[in-house]
Amino acid sequence: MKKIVLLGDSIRMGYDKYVKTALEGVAEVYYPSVNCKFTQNVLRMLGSWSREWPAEEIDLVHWNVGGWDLLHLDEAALSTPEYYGYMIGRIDRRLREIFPKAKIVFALTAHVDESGNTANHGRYNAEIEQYNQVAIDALKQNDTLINDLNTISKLAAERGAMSDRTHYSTDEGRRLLGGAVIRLICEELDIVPSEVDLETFEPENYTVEEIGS
Amino acid sequence: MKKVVLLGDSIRMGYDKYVKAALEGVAEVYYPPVNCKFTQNVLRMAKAWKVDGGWPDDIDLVHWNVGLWDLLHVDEAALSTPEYYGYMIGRIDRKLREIFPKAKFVFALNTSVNEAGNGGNHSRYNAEIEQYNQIAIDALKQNDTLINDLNTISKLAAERGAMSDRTHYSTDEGRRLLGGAVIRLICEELDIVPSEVDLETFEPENYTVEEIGS
Repeated sequence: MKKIVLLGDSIRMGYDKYVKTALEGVAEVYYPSVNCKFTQNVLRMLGSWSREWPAEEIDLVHWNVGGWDLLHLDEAALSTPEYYGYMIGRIDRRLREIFPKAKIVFALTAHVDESGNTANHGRYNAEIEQYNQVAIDALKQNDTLINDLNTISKLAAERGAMSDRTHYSTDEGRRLLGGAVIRLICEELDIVPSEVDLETFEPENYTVEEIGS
Repeated sequence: MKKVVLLGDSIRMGYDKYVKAALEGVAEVYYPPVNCKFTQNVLRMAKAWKVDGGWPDDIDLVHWNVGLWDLLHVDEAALSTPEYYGYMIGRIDRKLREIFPKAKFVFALNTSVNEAGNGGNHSRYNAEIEQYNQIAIDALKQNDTLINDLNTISKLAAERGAMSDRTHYSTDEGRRLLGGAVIRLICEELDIVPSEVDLETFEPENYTVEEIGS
């Protein structure tokens, strides 16, 4: 059995159990029971989260962070682009320290519906693409793979698969975003997933508060 | 009745209920049921704490601290760079003034730690604490935020054996000194008179060890 860790914000929370179900029998899939939120939180909490898992034996870590960093609730995004890039590099190094055997995959920040933006709660797709490029550049020097969930989420949005202005917690959203995560993991670890029956599938029962907006 | 908000990390959690008890009858004291943690978290959550806690708009005074999580080393450096810390202190200050338009503001400096427990990807350094405190003072200089020097008081508390672990002052003497300094400053600013709290019978908030952190 391969061993996989999924880290990330509410976008990860939308597909984590779907991925776990698809890999049943071929991989153990671990993820925190909470929203990983923004870069400071990820770097701060990684050590605690990883204590619950066999960190030294993990084969692959799939992570994302950024939706909270680029949220505007005042005069600017929570993290400046410079600090975001700096923290992405630090988190990546810390992941390699904690999960020494693992391949590392970073998923780009997903597309949002800007029509729900307000002065105190806004995300902008142009900035999402900017921050995604900042992350790609910060990870360039090592062999972190990039999972382009931004492109996939745009396709999902076109197909009406958004559950609100930020999330893709619909059958089609899980099929597309979760499917892309499963595909990349399986290619990298040379394993074969099972089909998940979305008619009967039940996602993790996260509270609305934990998911955030 | 005056209205006071206390925000901050586990240092605040060590004295919040003590302050509330001392101000009973003269001020309503509000604080989040959680650890406010580091600067990104405070900026992100401040409005939600007010809304979720049902705090009124007409708060008279906000006493806040943040920094011990920012200057914690879990890897190659402190969680927040000095530059980012100063930038965020300024932003939080502006955000708090938007959320609490009537309030006076007091910022409490980061307290001293016992470095003997450092290691294992979990370290804080007193020299850096003083550096970050100076950065916060500089970031808040342009407006009328008052500074509560809990750093000096915490050193006195540490000398008197009032630390409950390498970071905290959750002892009777710790509460008397740090909580006392918070009460004194609030009362001076709001022109109110506190009551004596009987530490023999006083029960602090029942926070989990996980929520307090280390």
